[in-house]
Amino acid sequence: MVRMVHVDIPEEDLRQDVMREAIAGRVPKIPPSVALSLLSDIDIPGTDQQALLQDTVQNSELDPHVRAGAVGVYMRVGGEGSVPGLLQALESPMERVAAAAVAALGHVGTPDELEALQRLRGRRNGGELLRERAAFAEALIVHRFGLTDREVVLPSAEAQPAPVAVGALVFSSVRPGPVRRNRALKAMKRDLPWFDVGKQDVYEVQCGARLLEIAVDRDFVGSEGAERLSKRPATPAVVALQDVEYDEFYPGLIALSRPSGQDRVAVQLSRLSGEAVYVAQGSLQRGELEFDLRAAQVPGVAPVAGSVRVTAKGVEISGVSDRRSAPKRSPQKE
Amino acid sequence: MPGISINIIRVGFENFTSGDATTINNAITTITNTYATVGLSIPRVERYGIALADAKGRDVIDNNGEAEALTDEWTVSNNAVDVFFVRLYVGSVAGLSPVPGPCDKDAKGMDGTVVELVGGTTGQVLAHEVGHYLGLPHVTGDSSNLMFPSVPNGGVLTAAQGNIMKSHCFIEP
Repeated sequence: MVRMVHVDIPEEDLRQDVMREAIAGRVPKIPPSVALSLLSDIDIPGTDQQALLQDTVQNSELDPHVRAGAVGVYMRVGGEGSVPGLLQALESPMERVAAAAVAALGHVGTPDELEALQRLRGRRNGGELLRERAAFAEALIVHRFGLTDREVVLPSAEAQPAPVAVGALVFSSVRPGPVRRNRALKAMKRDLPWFDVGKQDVYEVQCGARLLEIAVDRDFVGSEGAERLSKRPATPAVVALQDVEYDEFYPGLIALSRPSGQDRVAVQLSRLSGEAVYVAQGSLQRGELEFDLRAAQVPGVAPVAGSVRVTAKGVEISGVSDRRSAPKRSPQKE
Repeated sequence: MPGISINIIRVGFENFTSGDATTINNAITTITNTYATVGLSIPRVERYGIALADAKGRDVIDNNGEAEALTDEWTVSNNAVDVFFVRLYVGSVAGLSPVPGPCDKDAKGMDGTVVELVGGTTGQVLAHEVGHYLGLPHVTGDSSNLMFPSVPNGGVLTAAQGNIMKSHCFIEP
């Protein structure tokens, strides 16, 4: 169970002038992060919220962290309309801002933006974060649009060995009720503008204390769907994680699939920031796809051995997970 | 007096200012004073940092999954609560924690707390999130209680809440 604390804002402060000042860090009771969140979650009277967010992204006098945080909100509020502003933000000399814009472009950009992303990935004076985000944004666009004429470079992800069976957590998918299903889909749509709620079947997996809702695009279910997966890149699934307290979900993983040889399909389940967390290899036989799922070699991710079957009836997910994660990293002592 | 030690981990430490250092020190004072009201001390505060180059952009959190990923990837190997300070956590929330936090910080799932620097309220957020780690759920009917779901609140802990906190496996005698 995970819990969080909200920051409460008096209603009389919900005004454009107050929000602008709060974003600049000049309103002690309203942190910039909360002001940004308000601009995406509620209507603030007399405020062109998208324009205020765009100003925030481009205002070089603001703290780069605030500008970087504003980028994601701007993308969610503006959708495809934010693309010109994001392309402008790519040129920011502040790497943190440019990296956030790159990541956002992966979600709202089209193949027209691939050239700009490729250029950025190859920029000599760009940092590692910028290059990694650009590579993932490029991969996301290629997979979202199913482009077969583009090679993408996903971060390499070696699979961990299967967990020790004794004492491992067992998981198996079921179909959730409409309340959890709808809450999960709403959360996915909120953070992923490209996500098409109307095309999804949702499956639920409880693994230990963790509840996952897995949205699978119906275009990739059944024998025709499996055939499509074996022919072109795709984003066939999104995984949302539950915050128990408010019964809210947030998208945590995006599945990127691509053909990997005759009747074979490779899948990476990546965090929204691009790191692969799970990897799967599948083979197409008699119109059904069966994947072998493993955790990636990533610090802090628990070993998993699972099976994902895509049949005419739907998707079946099952497996075991270790209770302990792979060794973590240690921060520097000060 | 029994106590709970904490690891302060600044994410992207290069960008923390002297003002941020003051905010963190004030937050430690707040948690110390708040927990003392239920007979709980803060015997050790260890300080750590994650460099920007290693933070993978998680110095700015814009999705709860990224906050969880931070605690998944990093830990200090001791029996203290890992508190990851970030300069921006986009959303209406200012902190995130498991309830209760595990004794084994290598266990699957979230096993540290994430706290945003939110000026003078930071201390209350810190005390609230570490309270979750020690097993306290939210108290929805009493805005004077530290575990009320939003801040600022009255910051009060009851004796019964103190007893729950003292039963966590990280408590030092």
